[in-house]
Amino acid sequence: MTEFLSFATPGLPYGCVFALLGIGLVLTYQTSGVFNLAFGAQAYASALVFYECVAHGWPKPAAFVVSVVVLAPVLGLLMDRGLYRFVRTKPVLVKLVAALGMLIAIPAVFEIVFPAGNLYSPPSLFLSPSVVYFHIVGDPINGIELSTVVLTLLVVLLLSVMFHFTQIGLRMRAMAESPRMVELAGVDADSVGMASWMLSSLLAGLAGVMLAPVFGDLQALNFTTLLVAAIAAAAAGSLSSLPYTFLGGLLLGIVGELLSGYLPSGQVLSSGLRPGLPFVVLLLLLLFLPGLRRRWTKVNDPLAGVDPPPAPLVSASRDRSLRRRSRIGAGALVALFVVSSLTWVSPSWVFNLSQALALAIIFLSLVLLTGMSGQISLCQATFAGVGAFTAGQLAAHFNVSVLAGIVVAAVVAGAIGALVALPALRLGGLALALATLAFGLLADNIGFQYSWSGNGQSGISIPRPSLGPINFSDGRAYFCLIVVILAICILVVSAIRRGTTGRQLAALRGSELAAASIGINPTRAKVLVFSVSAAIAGVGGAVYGSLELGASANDFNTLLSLVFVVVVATVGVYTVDGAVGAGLAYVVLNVALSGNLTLRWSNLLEVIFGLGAVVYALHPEGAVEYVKRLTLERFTRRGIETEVLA
Amino acid sequence: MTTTVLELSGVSAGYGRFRALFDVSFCLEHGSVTALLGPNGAGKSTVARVASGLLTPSAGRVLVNGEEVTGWPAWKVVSRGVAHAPEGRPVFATLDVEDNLRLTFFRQLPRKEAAEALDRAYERFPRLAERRSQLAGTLSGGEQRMLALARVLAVPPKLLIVDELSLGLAPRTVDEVFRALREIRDSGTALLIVEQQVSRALELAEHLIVLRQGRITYDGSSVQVSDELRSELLAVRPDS
Repeated sequence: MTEFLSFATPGLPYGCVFALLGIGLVLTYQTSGVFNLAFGAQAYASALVFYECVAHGWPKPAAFVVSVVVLAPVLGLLMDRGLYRFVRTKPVLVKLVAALGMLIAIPAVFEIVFPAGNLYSPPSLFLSPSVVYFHIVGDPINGIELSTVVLTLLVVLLLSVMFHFTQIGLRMRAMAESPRMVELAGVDADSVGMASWMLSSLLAGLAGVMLAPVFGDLQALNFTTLLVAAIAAAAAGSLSSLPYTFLGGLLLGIVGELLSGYLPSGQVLSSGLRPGLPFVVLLLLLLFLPGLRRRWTKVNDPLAGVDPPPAPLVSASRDRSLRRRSRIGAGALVALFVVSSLTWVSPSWVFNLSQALALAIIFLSLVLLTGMSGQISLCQATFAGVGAFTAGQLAAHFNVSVLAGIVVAAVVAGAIGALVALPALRLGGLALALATLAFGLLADNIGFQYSWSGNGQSGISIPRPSLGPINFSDGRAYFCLIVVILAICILVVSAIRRGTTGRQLAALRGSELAAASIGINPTRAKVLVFSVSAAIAGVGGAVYGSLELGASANDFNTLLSLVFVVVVATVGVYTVDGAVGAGLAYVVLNVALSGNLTLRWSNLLEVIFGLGAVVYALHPEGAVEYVKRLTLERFTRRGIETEVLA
Repeated sequence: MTTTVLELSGVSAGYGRFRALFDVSFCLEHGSVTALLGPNGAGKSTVARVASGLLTPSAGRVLVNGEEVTGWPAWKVVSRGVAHAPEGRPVFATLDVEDNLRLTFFRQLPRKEAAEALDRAYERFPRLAERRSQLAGTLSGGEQRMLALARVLAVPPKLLIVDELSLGLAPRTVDEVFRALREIRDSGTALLIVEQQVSRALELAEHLIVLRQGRITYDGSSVQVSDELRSELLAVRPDS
């Protein structure tokens, strides 16, 4: 018993931190309907500023005021005014991408402002970490632990009171259901939204500053991974109950410490399980907590009809002469692109373009999944990794040709995709996104660490394929192969779009209920498309790995998955050209920026794509479609009538 | 003091590229009851949304008590005395009954009067008192509409817009809804009733506006309606 307690006690502060973040998530979800994945990033921003202020010799209270009392709410205010205000009545997908954009952009912005590598031993807020205040069954309780626990309890209490017994709390709760109904009750919905964002940002800032010393060093990644623990805690509270969220977070922290106490050390499973625990718990909660299922299916806004329907895609407008012209133009462009890559373009740029097209394959999987079926996956990089490691391991151990390996990679990734999607899909869009996030992080921490899969940081080597006499180790030859594989994937996606499944998905996007009533099985169609999408991502990963001649767990981490989603959403998630454009844009920007900028500004790419998500929130059609629309409108002004398909 | 509580002049409005209203103009007198009728998709709900500020017209002006409110956010229009019970579910499903009422009362009244208003609302609708801690989403359709009216009854607005309030209700509940509407009119509130049940609406209303494909085709007394129009209105609604 004493041993048990001595293992469990150190988990308390972790648990409190999880709980605090979880409560922040619940608060924003309840008040704005946005599942704020950027919450960890906001916490990081405040923690970083606090660290910098103290490092520059400021007294702690002053640093606290600047970083938490001022900066955090201002950040919330800016995010609300600039972004979230516009997505308040938009679908889950748009809200998620907007939050993802912030998750990527905020740390990058702050790292540009405060360029510093890893920051060790961040200062604690008020109680000293070296002073032991008292013992619990022999466990020393130091200042950080004590202050974390006390502050968390205080915040939970204050928030519960505010939420349930004050007018502003009531208004915030009403906002979650329908901002327009709140307006009809005579309340300024914009101000309430603003207030709740500022409050939750304040909470994020507080959590960040408290959290930093618990972890020992200050990294954006810590805060992102931590978010899953917070999500698990929030899920334990069914996304609505503050006390249960608190309990869930607390338990998570304690069980994590118990595991590390009792499990044998030194193995991948035990070293990965403790950081992986929140993800396991989140997956289990998503699957087995029935109350949660009711919460995910959000109550519809009765006034949703006030919003204009999304404008039809340009590709849905048809005009024979215009279409002929654009086909000829596109064909010429592709031919020009391929021919010039094979002749005068320098080998290093051929490599870059190959990268772009390999990424385009992965992005295509998102076009299929998000653009066509309206689902969102936050682990496409993981599927790509599965594909790459499958091809690599097959080549290394069984001497399987990489070309055959790519096919097997597709099958394996597809099968794993189906396994992930099958249980999560019943819960709807948000739950699927979170389940894939948990799965991706689990793969990062455990799955890809084994030597038989990704072999951790050191990675594995993946040879170039060869086909009979043709060896693709030459850059230009392999480029051609990638073009062919990309073309095949595009054909597959187009076939699905035009075929029965595509039409079923279109019907499901319109109304799941109506689609089911005419005999469409929503689960079957969705699992199928998720699985095919995972397979395509696997192909893309294998192609990419082979291009790079090797891959490690780091090359396919979950953060990359998040970036992928944001990039594709920004450039265009509804069309094949969007995926190719996204691949090109990503690589070209990356090369242009990393070649010409100092380390400090290398984060600019993330800022650009993070802010791209803001554009996405305002124009969900994406950049490619936007340009097409402008061109089309110029044509229509010239008198060419276009007919829009309903 | 003007005699019109609501005036729309030359209003066009729509959703995205779709235009629902074309050059709609009408006036509502203080304390009057107006029925807004027309077939499905004629733009009735759009008129209601424009009037309460939920939707900003692309052209034309909206005046409340002679004050121009075009382009105002809905909450500001509400503060000028316009209440709107939207179509479908006019309550917050995820809040309990009491919170639904408090949200409105504590906005409009000082704390003490708000508490009294709450008591009055429960007195008038005992069913709601029984269910005060129940989530509004779990109420029956009729109880939800009553809840929406209870909010209005305690602090009578100058104009109440009700959109398809009787839709999908049992005949007896419809009676109850119309009794409550009558009470609200007696307290001096002007009513704009968007209705499917033509004869019910015409019983209460002295003024009739007919919309057809986004344009007004009749605007005048509901008593002198020609038999032709009446039968036409009834014919487009075989269910009433």
